[in-house]
Amino acid sequence: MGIVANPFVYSGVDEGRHLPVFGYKNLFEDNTVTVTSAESAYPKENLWDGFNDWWQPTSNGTNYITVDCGSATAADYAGIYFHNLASVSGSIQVQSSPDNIVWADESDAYIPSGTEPVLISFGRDSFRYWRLKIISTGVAKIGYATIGERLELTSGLLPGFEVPNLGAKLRMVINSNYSDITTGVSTYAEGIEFTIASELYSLAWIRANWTPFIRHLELGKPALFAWSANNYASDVVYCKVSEKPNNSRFDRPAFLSINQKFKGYIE
Amino acid sequence: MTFDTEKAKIGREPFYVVKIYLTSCDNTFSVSPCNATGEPCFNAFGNCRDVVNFAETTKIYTFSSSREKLPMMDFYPFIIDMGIIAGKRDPGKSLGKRDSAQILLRDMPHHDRGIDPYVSQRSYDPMDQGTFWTKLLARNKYYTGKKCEVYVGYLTDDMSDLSNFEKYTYFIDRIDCNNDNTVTLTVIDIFKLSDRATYPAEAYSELAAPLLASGNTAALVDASSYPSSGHVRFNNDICSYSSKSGNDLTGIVHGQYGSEAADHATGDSAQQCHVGVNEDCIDTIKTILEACDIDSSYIPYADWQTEFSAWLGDYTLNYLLSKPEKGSKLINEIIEQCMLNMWWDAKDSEIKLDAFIPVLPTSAVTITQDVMLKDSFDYKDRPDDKLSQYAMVYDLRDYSDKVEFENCTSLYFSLSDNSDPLKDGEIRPKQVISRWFDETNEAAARTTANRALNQKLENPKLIKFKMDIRHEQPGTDFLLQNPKFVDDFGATKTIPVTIISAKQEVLGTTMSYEAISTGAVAQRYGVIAPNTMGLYTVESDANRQKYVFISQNSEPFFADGTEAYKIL
Repeated sequence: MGIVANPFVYSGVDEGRHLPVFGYKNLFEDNTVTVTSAESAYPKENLWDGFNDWWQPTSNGTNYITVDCGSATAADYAGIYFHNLASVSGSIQVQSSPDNIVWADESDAYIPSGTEPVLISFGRDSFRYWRLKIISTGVAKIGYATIGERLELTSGLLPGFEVPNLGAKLRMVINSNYSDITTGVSTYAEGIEFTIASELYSLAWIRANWTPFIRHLELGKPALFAWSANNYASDVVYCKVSEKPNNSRFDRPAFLSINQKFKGYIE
Repeated sequence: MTFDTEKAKIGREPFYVVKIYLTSCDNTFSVSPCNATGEPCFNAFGNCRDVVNFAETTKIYTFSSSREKLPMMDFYPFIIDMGIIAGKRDPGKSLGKRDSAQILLRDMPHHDRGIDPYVSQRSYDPMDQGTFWTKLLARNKYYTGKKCEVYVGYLTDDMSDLSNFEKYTYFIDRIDCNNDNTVTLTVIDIFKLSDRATYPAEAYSELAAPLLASGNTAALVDASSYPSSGHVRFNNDICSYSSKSGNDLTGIVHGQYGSEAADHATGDSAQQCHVGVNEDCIDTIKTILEACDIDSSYIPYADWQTEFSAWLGDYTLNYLLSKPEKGSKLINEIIEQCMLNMWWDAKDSEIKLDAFIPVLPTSAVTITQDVMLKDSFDYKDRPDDKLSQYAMVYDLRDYSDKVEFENCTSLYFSLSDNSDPLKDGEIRPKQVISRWFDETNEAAARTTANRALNQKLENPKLIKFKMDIRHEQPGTDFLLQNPKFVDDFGATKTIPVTIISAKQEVLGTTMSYEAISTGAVAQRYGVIAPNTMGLYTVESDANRQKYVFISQNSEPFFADGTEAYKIL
């Protein structure tokens, strides 16, 4: 995995360039998926339907979500969101296999610390079988799981980009009495809004990479986004668009720019 | 972990859940006892193809507000917005404006898993056909009146159920599909049922043969739904009957309750009547509510009896109802004539009933400006609600005739001293005509007249204020202290108020109240003291607040300058 030149976001000599990555292609959606087990009310289909339901195996311990792609298929990321792994001492690891018999690790086991979205990047490989290995001491629940090829932005994010994971994540309502003494505070976690703006893309790149992503967003489907997959890999957002996606546009001769607003969740 | 502990926390995270209870079938399609065949149904009554074997059960659909860090519970996070429209009580007058709530929910294509029990057998992809709500409504045509619970609470890290939530119970009025992929769920309080149902029930049958004015047997087409004895009305002739034999009502006595005996023809309707003789007013109300299909589990009858014993003993009603009328209309009359305060308590899921009496100082919490939200306090005088004369006209001459002044034989009249020229000097009369009191009910008429006048001697005040939800108090009667209420010397004074409307203006955060001042604001109330009580000058402040003392001074003031009492 090479880190592309990223001239527009530069946070210091120690960090170098930041690599923005989207994970939206999902092999689970269009291929044959099997799971070790599933409670009847929480079937495997809940893993990729985009609703706030979840897959739940019948027991704790080691469980797998396996996809048979029919032929060798490339992947370089996996991710989950809406899960309880932290509360059941759970971990997640990506494995691959050519034959569904011999499996190789593609990533280390990752142990989430909370309910945050997880995006695991690994070196691009191509296999017929891919699986997520879940180990937990309590019964795991996972609402969204994905594996496939990530979308890397070849240009950096323009100045003005607000890092979703760093900003305020709550709306507040503060009540005060006649003496201006606070009598109560309510907070509302309604998610965050952030905008991805980037430029200097070739028409060929847009056609091959951005437009398929827009088609995906148009269907209301989700994506995982890491604003700096190389430096801050755990800064991940689960996001969707809340309105019609924007077109890419020519801002200078021969180069297109992208500008897209997202609604995201970081917990 | 309770609602009260969570609401007191700074940074609390309000969260809402709505449950709707729809009728479902417990059978499996085409498996005995279900004899239906072909394309499976959806286990709802509206599409059942073997209704004889429909096994009624309840399917609960649970919706929540959409938010980050959603708890992993079986919710559809479709709630976009929710507004609880607080009812407004109308003590001493009517059931008031009803409680309701409107919930705006998202609509979208849905996979039907967890909803359609036979989704795996369908030949189509549910994501391609209809939406969550359009399908739910098509499959559940009979949703009106079904129970809906609204939960308001706070998210906690270890949340596994709704135990720290407050539950409000309503009933589905309608579900409207909007144009923007949303639906509006409108839920209402239980009294809506009494707006729709009538009491007594419409006539079920008619005369199968002529009934002469001298006849003592009425042959009906079908007497099966008539009680074994009672009263029945043919045209304007109210008859009693003593027994029933097949479809014949026997022992007919014509011309009861002031009506005139007359001949009746075949086909004349036989309207059942309902009679009350010295019936406690709470029993009358309970009978009407139950006749309106309101389940008795929502009527806290023991509480009503306690209130009746303490304050409503004069109200034993004597009446005859000889034509169907809306249940809410009848109850409104009783509320006004018995000075009641009735409302649907969505939180306790029951119909509350109180006597509308002044707030007792010793039993009420004092609300001060310290807990009111800045700039939220406001009050208006309501001079149009003031009373100086009250006339109760009662004892109907002919119960088959109209309820009007000319058809009554008794009148109780009471006059307040507000008609004194040095006070308002103007007459504010109110006349109420009662079909619930007969000649034996003078005490009831007197109590109502006096209570109504006492409540409205001075300008009633409509008071509005807001509080953070952590300062919410149970109950409806409070004392209110605000710099806008002062005595002659400018010192802040406390006035008794009854809350007529309380709603969560910002759910889980801000309470908005409307209250009315009860009793003459300057008046001092108390109850009769026990024999052990000492002189006013030596008794404690608490006892002075609670009990009535008699002043030996010629002026209506005590030695300390405070005013005289009025006995409750």
